[in-house]
This record gives sequence, structure tokens and C-alpha cells, in this order.
Amino acid sequence: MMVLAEIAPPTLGLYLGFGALFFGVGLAGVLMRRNVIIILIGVEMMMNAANLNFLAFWHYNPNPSAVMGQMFAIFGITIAGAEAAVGLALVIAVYRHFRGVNVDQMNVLKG
Amino acid sequence: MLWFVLLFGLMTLVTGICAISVRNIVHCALFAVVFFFGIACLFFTLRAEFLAAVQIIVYIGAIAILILFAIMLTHDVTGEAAGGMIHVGGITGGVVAVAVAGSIMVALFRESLIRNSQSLVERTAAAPQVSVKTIGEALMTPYVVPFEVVSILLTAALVGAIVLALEQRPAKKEGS
Repeated sequence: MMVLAEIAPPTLGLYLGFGALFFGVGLAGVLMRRNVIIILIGVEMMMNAANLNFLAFWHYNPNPSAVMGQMFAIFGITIAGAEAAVGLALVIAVYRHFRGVNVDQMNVLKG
Repeated sequence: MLWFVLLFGLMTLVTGICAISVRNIVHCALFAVVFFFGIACLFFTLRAEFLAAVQIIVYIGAIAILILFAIMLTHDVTGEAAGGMIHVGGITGGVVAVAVAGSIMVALFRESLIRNSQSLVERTAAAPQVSVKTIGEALMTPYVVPFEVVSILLTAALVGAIVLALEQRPAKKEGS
């Protein structure tokens, strides 16, 4: 195990590839499902993929004392939290109006 | 290390696919919890321990619980009204998602496949040593303005979420 780890350390491309796959999974969740809550889960997955890319680029940068990648990820997580709170409050408000969380039912703007 | 990264990545990928494809919506939320935990494990392998802890606390401790509360407030807990993925819009969306992920992968790995040279994606560098103390000092000195702005944003989101979710009393009287 240790010998193999020394032969092939994980590369930047491995993390970026996983980030692209997670982004694709989240995008599929947003586009394929009609339930608002699963759409929100998909958006969170895409934000997680973006944070993974930030941290991967931070890990593999040549400057050993840089913190900018970590800062981007911290602010990304914060904004994801705010977005989840507002999004789920919107889900509850919409559910009260339409008695459902299916996006196909939501076809009027007027409350 | 490579095997840990592959293991965590594949675990996260499988649970992510389960989280968007399972019919029962409570199971979707629980699969999403495992997805967030797998992302935190990947952060650990990137030597970003603070971000991994923050990921677990914020995503599993707050966002996943919030999603479960939203499911309980809006659904029958059995959650059979979730709806499937096989319809015209769903198939189109799946094709679009696969195309987007595939084009990102092609853009990433085309260079190293064609020229077989040391491109950016094959870089393996020594991990930067950034402690929690460094992160705290950076948040308080060069990044203090975005820090304050994000705190205002969080306050606004809190107030906005309460205003949106609060039931208006006249509407309640009309309904009952």
C-alpha cells in the first residue's frame, strides 16, 4: 500500500475529474427531477463540486503559503448555507400555496 | 493515498447518483448526507482539515437537517409523490447533464492525452501547510471586507427566510 502510494500519488486531474462528475450528477438532479427539494439537493451538489475544485487547485499550487483557495471554499460554503435556508423557506411558502412541491404545477407568478 | 482518493470519490459518486435517482425523498436526503460526508473525506485527502470539519458541520449538521425538516413540513413522510425521472424533460435533462460533464472531462484531459506531456492535470506537488491559525489571521486581515459582507448576507438570508416561511394571518383565516 505504501509502495503503491509512493509510485502513484493522486494528481490534480483526479480531483478535477471527480469534480466534473459530481457537477454532472448535481446537474442531472436539477434537470431530471420534478421535486423542488431534490432540485435543491442537486444545487448543493454542484456547489460542493465547485468547492472541491477550489481546494484541489489550492492543494496543487506552487506557493506553499497561499490561503486563497481555502478562503474561496469558506465563502462558497457560507453562501451555500444562505442559499439553502432561503430556498427551503421558498419551498415551504410555495407548498402552502400550491399544496405540492412539483415544479410542473408552479406556473403562475401571482400569489 | 491514491486508493483513498479513488475509494472516497467512487463512494461519493455512487451515493450522489442514488441521491438524485431514488424515488423515496427521505432516502434521497439520507443519500445526500453520505454524499456530503464523502466530499468532506476528499477535503481531508487534500490536507484541508478545517474545510473538511466545516463541511461536516455546515452540510450534514445544518443543511441536511434543514432539508429533512422541509421534507417533513411539505410531504407525507412516505414521500411517494416524488415523481420519477423517465419523462421527456427528464431524458433531455439527463442528456444535457452527461454532455456538460463529458465536455468538462474532454477539456481537462485532452491536452495530456494528445501530447502526452506534463500538463496541469498531472501535477503532483507537495501539500501547502496552512494551519487554522493562518486561516483565522487571513480572515481577519486581508479578507475582512468579504468576511463582513458575507455576515451581512447571512443576516439578510436569515430574515428573508423567516419572512418567506412565516404564515400570514389573513390568509390563514380565509383558508380555515
